[in-house]
Amino acid sequence: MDAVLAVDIGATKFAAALVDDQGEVITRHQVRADRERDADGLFEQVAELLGAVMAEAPERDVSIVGCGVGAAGPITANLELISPINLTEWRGFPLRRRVADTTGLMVAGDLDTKALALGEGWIGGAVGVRNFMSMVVSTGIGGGVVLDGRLLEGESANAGHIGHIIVVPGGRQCGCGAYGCLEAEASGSAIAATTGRPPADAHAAVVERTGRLVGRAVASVVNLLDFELTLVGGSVALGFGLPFFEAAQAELDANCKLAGSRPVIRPAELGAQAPLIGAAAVGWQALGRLDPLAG
Amino acid sequence: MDLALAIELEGSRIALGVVNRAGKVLETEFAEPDDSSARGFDLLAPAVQRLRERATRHAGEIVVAGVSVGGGDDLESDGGDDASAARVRERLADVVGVAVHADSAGRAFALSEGWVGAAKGVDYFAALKLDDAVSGGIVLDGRMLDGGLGRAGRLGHVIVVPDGRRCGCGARGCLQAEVSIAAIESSTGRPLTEPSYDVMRHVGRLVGRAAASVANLLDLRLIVCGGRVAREYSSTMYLAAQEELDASCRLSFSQGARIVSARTPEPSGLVGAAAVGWRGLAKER
Repeated sequence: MDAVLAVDIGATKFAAALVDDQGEVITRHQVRADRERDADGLFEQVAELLGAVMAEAPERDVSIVGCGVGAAGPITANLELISPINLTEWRGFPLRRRVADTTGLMVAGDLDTKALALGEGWIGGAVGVRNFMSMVVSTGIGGGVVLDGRLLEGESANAGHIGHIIVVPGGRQCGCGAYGCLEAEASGSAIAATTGRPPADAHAAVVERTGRLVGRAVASVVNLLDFELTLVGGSVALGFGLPFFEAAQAELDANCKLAGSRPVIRPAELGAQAPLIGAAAVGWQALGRLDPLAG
Repeated sequence: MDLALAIELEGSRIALGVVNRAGKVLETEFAEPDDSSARGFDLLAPAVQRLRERATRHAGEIVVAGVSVGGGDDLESDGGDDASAARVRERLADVVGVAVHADSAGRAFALSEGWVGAAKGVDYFAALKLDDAVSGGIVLDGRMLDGGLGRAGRLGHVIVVPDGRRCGCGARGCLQAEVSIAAIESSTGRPLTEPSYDVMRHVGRLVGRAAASVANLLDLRLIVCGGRVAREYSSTMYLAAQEELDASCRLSFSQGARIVSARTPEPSGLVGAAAVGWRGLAKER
């Protein structure tokens, strides 16, 4: 059986898996990013992880045909260079080349949240949907937009950064330097910093406010780009659950009043494996073996 | 030579023109029908016929019609039946005798700026038109974004003042609710042409805020601005907008985003309408 090596480079952890062309995860490993290490030290963790996953291929009768990577942004196209906001050790780090050197595979990469959008369009909550946004609300906030049946790229492959829409003018300073970005107000790290406790212990009022602010940003994007469906994943959103989604939907309903606008915000469907399935979608697409958005 | 018939519907005013493939307006006609509710489509027939005849002077033939429909992006919600782009298209096809493609004035503006204006040759930009309505269009990855109902690019409905002024669309604090001509006049109690310095800066800041959100979201660094408000408030507004952009576009890919004024030659509305026609023709084929 053919599979791709799928790799997820997050701000706090790295994960890798073998994923077949149906999106089935065959085996999966992950490791916490060791923030004591420098840039090369961090990549050693990644290399060990990839080695461990690839070593399982023979016993599982899997032939690895390529590699897809999703990484936190900002990035340059195809992850030639990555500078994750919340992983400061890597600034302009040549991720794609390093993974290719380590594995000897064809490596294709994309922004993790764009990869997620591909994954949701492939086998998740947006199969056959030509216009949608998928987003992640966890430590940080990001997204990917599919419009007119295509994943939006942007000038340097960074389209989808919904975390940097301004939702509270003059609000908290964001990691990016601006004030009042969604990420500065509603991300897991923002919630921890402003409430003094982790998002898992957040008061109902915090959950409601987070939902409202996410809904406000999504409303602007829905109005701007003319689509209906938004899928939200990530530990904060999914951990908050129903009250979060109800608050977000209420804010959307209040702010999306243009003719024919029927926006819906609901949980992403790929669950904990989503980043790896998205990375696999990037890999399979680059191999020309499938079009994740073909529906 | 293939030519486009361009029709611009803006309020009760109708402008018509003949535009070539290079974006040059060769002939024009203007009509201001008394009965604006009917948009005077029947009155168009003679004007179209005159333009058709004059097109022969340029050794050309009209092969497509493009219509730019003013009144904002929320056409069906507050523009009445006749303002729906689809309806305009149907009714005009009978009159002009060639395929008709219609789009909002904001999207037509974006096409014209990408064609012969300030974003000529640029594959990533947003265009923002500040008039009675605040509308726009977005070109990304070299294509104008359409979206589900073909209305993508509505910068006028990005929320810039949470819980702000009530917008014509029903929401609050949309850019249009804050900086359209009507919004400025009603909140200041003065005509558009008599602004204070602070008002011009305020409008600029809000425009910059919406532009920054769009630049950060979509990974683009050029925002082209036009319309009467932009013309009246000019450099004072642009400066304030640019300051807001500089403060809010801090990501590696959005740093250096610029807001510039439109450069499509007049009559720019007809150039935009023609661009809608040419785009529609290309899509048909």
